[in-house]
Amino acid sequence: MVRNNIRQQFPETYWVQAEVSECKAHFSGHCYLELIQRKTDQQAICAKARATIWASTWAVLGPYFESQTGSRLMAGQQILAEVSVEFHELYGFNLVIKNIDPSYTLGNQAMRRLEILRRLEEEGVIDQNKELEWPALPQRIAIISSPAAAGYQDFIHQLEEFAGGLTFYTALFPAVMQGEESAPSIIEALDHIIATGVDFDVVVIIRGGGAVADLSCFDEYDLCYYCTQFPIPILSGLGHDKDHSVLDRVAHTSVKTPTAAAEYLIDSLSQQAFRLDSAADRLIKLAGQVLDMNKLTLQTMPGRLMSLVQQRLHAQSIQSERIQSRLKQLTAETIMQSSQQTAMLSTKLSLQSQAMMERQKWRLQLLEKSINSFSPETILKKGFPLSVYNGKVVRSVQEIPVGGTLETRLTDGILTSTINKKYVNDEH
Amino acid sequence: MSTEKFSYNKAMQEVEQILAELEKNNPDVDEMSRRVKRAVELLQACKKKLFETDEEIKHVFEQLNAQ
Repeated sequence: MVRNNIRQQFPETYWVQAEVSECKAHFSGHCYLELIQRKTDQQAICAKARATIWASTWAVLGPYFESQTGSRLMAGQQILAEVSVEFHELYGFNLVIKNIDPSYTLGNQAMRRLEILRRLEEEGVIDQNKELEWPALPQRIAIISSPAAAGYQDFIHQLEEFAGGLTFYTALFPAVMQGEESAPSIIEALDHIIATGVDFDVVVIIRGGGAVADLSCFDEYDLCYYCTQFPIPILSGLGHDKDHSVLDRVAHTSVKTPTAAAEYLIDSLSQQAFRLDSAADRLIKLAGQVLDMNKLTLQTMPGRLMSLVQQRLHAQSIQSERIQSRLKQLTAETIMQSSQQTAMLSTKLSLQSQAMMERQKWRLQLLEKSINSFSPETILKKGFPLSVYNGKVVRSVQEIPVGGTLETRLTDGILTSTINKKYVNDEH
Repeated sequence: MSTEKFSYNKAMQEVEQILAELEKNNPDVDEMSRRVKRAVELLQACKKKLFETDEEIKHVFEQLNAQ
């Protein structure tokens, strides 16, 4: 009866606004939710209902919701859902969700933001500012802000108080940071930065906190496109926690607040200071090592030198001993050889001299013989008498006068005769 | 990139290179002292950039802020 009644009372589907307090996707493919409504003070719950998305619907609706909002359906979200009212005897009152409008959840602003992001992505420019090289020393800082904004004061204060001696140069480029005028005003400030011709390392866009709606100016397509094309890295600190604007997305680096932006810059420079210190430390350590090593070498040098000298001396004494013994051996060998040679020679010599003696003896005998044959006795014996006058052998008739007494010697005696006449040979 | 930024990066690159070489090779004392001297010069120049105010740049920024 109740079911029939309800069906009669709510025959169509209805669009209802509610907050999701529970959301469970069951393995069967259905999705079970609990919807609530709070009182205007946003705390006390004044209505609560179970809701179901059947699997056939959920299979389409789930992915669609996620693609449109960038987030899956979950507790805490405000939704606008098309429902039919049902009653089951066992399970009671239940809303069956047929459709959900994601733009309600996101809000018109958020939908637009997604659209711009998608467009920048399609154009291939969304990461172009991010792709710029972050400077090693972000010291020359162009600030885009409203001069009166608390955020700007925070930034400057942080930089002055906590820089720890690091040097920063800041120049403010004032811009309107709220409302419709802000996007063109920020673009103008960016143009101004380029027009100065000063070599800035980084552009900081900062703003104090504010209502969520105030962030809409940072979701302008023109401004964000301009930022992607800007030649200097942009650091954004727009002063909000939860919402993420398109400007934050396209900036080189995005932090939550102006104070955080200053901290980020100080950090960047501190890292370099640290890098310098550690390089200096490494240098000192290395130099120390090299010096220590050389000192050690110097200290051990005398000892090494001594042992080297000793080694050398030892080697030399061994060598000289070897030479000496070799020399002795050689001498002995030489002596032996030469004595053998001498013996041999003397034998040879004695043999030779004997032969010579023999030869001489024989020659002498020969000589004796021939001398004997010339002796007067021999001649006399042969029958040749010697004529002698006054004791001298007469060889010519001239040597003896007529009347002189000539002695004729024969082997057995002497004849004496007187010369009566001389005849001289004609030939003479 | 400005020449000043470039020189900082270049200086640090050179310092790193010197360190790497000193660590890798075994330099003699003369070579080492020459290298260390160069590295110290570079480090001092870098440190100056970080911690000392360049009056010229300061002046330019003051003028920008006065506009």
